Amino acid sequence: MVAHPQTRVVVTGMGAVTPLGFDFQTSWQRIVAGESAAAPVTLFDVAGCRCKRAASAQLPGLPDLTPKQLSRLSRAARLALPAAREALAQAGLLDEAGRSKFAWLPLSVSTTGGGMAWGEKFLRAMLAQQDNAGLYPYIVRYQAHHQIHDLQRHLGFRGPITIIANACASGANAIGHGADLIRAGAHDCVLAGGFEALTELIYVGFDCLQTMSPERCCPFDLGRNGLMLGEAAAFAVLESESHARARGAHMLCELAGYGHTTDLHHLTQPDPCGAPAVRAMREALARAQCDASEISYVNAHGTGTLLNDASECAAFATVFGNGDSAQPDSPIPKSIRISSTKAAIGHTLGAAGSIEALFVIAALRSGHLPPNLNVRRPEPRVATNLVAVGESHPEMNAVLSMNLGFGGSNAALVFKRYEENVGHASRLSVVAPNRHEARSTLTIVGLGAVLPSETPQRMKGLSVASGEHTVFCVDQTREPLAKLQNEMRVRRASPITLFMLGAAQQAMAAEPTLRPDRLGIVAAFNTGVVVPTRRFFEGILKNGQRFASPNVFPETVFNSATSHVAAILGVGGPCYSLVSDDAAWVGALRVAEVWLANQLVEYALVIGATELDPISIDAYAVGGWLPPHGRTGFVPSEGAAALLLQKSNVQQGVRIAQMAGGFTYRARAEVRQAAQDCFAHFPADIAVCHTAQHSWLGEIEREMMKGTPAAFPYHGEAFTASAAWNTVHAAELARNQRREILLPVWGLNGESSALLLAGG
Amino acid sequence: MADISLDELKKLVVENCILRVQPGEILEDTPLFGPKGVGLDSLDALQLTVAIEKHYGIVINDAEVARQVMQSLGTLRRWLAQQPPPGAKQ
Repeated sequence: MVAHPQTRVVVTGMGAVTPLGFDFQTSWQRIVAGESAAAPVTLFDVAGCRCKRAASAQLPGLPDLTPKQLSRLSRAARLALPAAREALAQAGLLDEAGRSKFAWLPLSVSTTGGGMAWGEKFLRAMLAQQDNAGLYPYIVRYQAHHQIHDLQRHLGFRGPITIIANACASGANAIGHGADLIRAGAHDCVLAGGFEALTELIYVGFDCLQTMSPERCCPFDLGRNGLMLGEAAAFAVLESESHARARGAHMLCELAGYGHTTDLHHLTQPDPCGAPAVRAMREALARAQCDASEISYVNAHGTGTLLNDASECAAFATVFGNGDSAQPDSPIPKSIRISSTKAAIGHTLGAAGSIEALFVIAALRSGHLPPNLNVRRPEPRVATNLVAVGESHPEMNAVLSMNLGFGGSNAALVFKRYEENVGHASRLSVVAPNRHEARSTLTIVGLGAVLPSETPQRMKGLSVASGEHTVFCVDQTREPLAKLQNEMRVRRASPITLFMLGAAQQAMAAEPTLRPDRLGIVAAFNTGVVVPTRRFFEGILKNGQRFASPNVFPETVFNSATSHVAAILGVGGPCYSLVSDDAAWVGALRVAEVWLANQLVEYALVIGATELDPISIDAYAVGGWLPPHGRTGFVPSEGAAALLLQKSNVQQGVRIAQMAGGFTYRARAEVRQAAQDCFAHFPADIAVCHTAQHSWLGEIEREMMKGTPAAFPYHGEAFTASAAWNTVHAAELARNQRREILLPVWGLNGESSALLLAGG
Repeated sequence: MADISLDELKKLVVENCILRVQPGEILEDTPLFGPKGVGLDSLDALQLTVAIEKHYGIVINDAEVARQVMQSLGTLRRWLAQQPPPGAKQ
């Protein structure tokens, strides 16, 4: 991968579904007019909650889908699909049948809940001891990558998927990462965005944290008392300037800069001075070669909570005031207009950063500004900056969107008016996006693994019908995990955090002098923090919404475990939590490669991790993977592994020499073709590791095997953790035998990918 | 309401705040919050308000009241003892 840091990234298409409209233009016109979608929640029962209001979206019709196809789409997918289609249409990338003109189109996407409403339905059924019949689609399709597979299938394309679950900032991360992919030279065109559907689990979670306003959300008002949740989907088509120009696309603006940092202050509270937010904004401005004084409009995160808005005001004063964090009360020039749009459409979590990015683009292009609603007594530090209804600013050249999230994830995006010939170098023109760039440049500096005990245990599902089965569990009473549990920061954390920390510390031991400010962390999850998620929802069902646990809910957020690891290691730079099936592991390695190629970090710590819970047993039993139906010896398992990576400049040491992924499949009949497409990217004469002997994919893998295959110890099936263990085993084999080894990474739920490891 | 034993309150705090200490390590006047005490944070404070409402039926709606009564097990115990039983006329 060869980075092109001077590549200009342009936006050529936008699409959105929000509580204020089925499409972006309708939403924009209504938000500029000062409308709000705040209304009583009717999607689910909120009788036991302190708050009863949210901003719900009307689902657009999808007349080209059959009723059966529609029934298979979760609410999240019903939001995402029309938004993505609208973005492709505006970019001129839809054919007459409403399908993508590019058959290969990378996706950089964000969500926090995915199709969680269907996960809730499954959990509710298991706890109620309901019949298993008919439940399989819910447990399969609640996961985030299934909404993405829905989107790919109905829009007719395939390609690598990066699903970032960095809580409330992840919508900005998804768009920023899309630009990073282009600047790293990995792709020329990326569909980027986020989606979020309202669900009971998340609503009750915010309610129990008492961060929602019982009356009305009023960001940056002195009387603010909480946020309002919302739901939305928003997508943008990002292209290199040369690619867009070569195909004659209309360029809406330039995505000029992206900055992301991690706030280590607290899992749910921002640094009161806003220092990490300052670093994110300054990084975005620096990459955009833009002075803070050039910014005309800022779309603030502005949730309407006491702590968020106070921290953000301090950060704005530092960046746009006199630039001194020691004087957070320095005045912000009145010419910088600021608004939060969350009083209008709510906090849409995984979609927030994406829809707000689209709002700043629309402001930049139209000169109209979205107002900050419900302000009576403005926060003094931004009192003269808050946008009123009807305000316009026709001379804008640069705008900024800021997001802060649970787990301390901060992201800032800077967009500029698109101007030709501004002195940037341009790349050679191409019309079709790169089908795939398989060569890789990653050197493995350190390895670590937390494996389950070799002594099998027995675990029951929540439902009696799921039975009791053999599992491999990590022994948490052994060092180093036992000692790690004494860390105050992780006392509430899910076991997966300990697994990740144990593996990370082993990998980091290879570079004992490594400073955390030179490091970024990418974690790859499938089911992720399933233990607290089950515990939290089970608590709601048993004790009632009123008594939901504020101590458990933050741990249900996908990036909580990654944030704990970052806090313990002191990493305040970029941290991503990716979700998908096992293929998320390859996605995480791709993120590391992009960060290293773009010189955002010097080292990347990539972690794959899984934890087991009784609900996992229910899921595998309903899926038919366990006895008596499962006939492959599949054993549920848990653990983690980590790689410490550097960009390789020489062909020495143990390396990930090639990667290929994005070969998605939906039905079993498509798997063989997906695997063949994937393996075609690698030399034909290299030994293929046998990793899928205990799943239904083993037969296809055997067909692919040539030469003397390498088989690894079987530690059970732990998805991204298994993929990570196998990579550790393959790396050790490649190093000891000084040969190349091809490692398949089978996504059991829909994606075929592979790694080529080289030693010597 | 009726007096609540110190041991009962210790158990409530340790279980709800997921502390890895023996209940005996927390004394009646040990600060619950801050680095010089047990080290609880704002999430624990919320968790304790939920637990107190669930166990004793007493609602703490005011954040400032919560801060005052949760300084230590002693302050919490004395405040609970002063509260009218749930359902009693104020």
